[in-house]
Amino acid sequence: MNFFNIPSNELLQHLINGLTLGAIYSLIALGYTMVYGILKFINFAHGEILMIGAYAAYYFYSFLYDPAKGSSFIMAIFIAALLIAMFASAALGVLIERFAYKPLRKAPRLAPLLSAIGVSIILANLAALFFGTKSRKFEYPFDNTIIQIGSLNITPNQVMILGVGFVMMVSLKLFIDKTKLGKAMRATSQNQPVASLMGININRIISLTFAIGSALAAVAGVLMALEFKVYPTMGTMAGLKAFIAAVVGGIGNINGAMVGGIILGLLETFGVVILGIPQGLKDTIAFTVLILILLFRPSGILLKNIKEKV
Amino acid sequence: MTNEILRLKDVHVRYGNIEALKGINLSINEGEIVSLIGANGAGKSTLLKAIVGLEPLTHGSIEYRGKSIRDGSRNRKLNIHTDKIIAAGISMVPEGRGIFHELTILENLEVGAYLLTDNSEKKRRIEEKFEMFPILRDRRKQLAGYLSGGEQQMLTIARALMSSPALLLLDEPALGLAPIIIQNIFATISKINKEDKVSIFLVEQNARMALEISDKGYVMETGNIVLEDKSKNLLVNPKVKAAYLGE
Repeated sequence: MNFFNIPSNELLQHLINGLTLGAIYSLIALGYTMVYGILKFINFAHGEILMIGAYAAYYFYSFLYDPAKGSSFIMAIFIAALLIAMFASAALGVLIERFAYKPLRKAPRLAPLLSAIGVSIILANLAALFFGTKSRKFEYPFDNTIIQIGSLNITPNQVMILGVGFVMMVSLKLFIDKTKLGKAMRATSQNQPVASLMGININRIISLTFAIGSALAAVAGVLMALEFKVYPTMGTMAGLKAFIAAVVGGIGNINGAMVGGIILGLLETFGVVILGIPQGLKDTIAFTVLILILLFRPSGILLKNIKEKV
Repeated sequence: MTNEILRLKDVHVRYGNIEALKGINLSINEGEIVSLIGANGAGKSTLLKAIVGLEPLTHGSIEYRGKSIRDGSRNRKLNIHTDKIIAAGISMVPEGRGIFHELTILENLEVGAYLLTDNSEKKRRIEEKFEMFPILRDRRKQLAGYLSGGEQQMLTIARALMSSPALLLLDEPALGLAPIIIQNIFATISKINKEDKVSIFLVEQNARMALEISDKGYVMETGNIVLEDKSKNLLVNPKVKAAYLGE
């Protein structure tokens, strides 16, 4: 078998690499799409919320990190660090909504967007001021030696990213589809005034949306930090890419964000191999995809078919 | 003396420079059907939105069972949020139905009982609505957006009843429906009132149907109440006949 001149033994390798990258994009894209679904605006501070979560995890983890204490201790503090990151980002997301977006809810739509960009710049600079601009290494909580399965090279970290990404997305899907609050969230995103007529407290649903989206971003942040370190602008490019992923899947569409992230991860990985794009220019793939989607399929690849009946 | 469930005192609502409601006084007694008729743009929908807190008052007050729910002043104690108004026992079928298109019929009903924590009671109420509108039972797993207009109207009424309200506000439930379906809907409204003792405030352009099932009627023109009487008197009132009944 020979697709686009990729030897079949390498094909699987690229697939795994693409899925790993895609899982991270999907986790971040969910936050964009959930917020858009409810408030119809893009939270451009999302990448910085991710970064703050990663720093929270980093400081907790590296403070307690001590290889002498054994692998189960390290794994335990890693899980604790992940939870702390989720909590920190969720709290930050809720606070940003409360103070930077809520007062602008009735303003023209450009106003909250500009506010979001402002918050994003402030957070990145505050992080540089307080945490320094140096990249910090996030030690692996396990031995990350490559596992060889036939010709396939996979790192334990990739396995973790795929596993955690899968668990997070399935849980979110179950929450949104099956629980009372999930249904209330969907109702609110479809028609806010009517949702309030059901007795739903809209402000609480909006806060919950920010909390969940931000917590998912924090998970992505910690997973990324293991591979690419922690630094004040770590969320910027990842945030942009995930935003593109959300647009690819159809902004506001939860399934779309998951699919869009995976597609973008695969396109980036295979684009480099098939088109021979140098690693340094890898980012052009995502932006080309954005332009193409906006030109030919602005509502995303997953179309919604239901029209309003009057 | 009968018990008053809702009272509006000198209610004003303003959109920018336009005064949509210019001092509305109105009352609904427990167990009554009260209808409000008027042409397009008279302010009928604005009035309903003001009652449930979707439009702020610029002056006046609205009391539910003797307690203020909305007020022209900025006083927070006198102005409670929509979700709390619903929790207090008011429910509304909004203008243009407002079903959740991408939720199934069953999910629409479940969301209607959002404030109810007792799951067996929720099941019982859903079952009760399916008895009322069997077509909804047959299609319960389908997305509500695929329902026809008449079925959507049945769904919004069923959904509004999921909270077991004491007062039901209906905004033009007959709009755009075939005559046979309109008859059905009105028969249901009448039945809800008699059997479940729900007080009803019915806003309609279909004046004859509305007045025939109601106890009391109000006629609204450009933000003012211009007539108020027992419905049976309004049905024979020459002004109403000429303007709203087409005789």
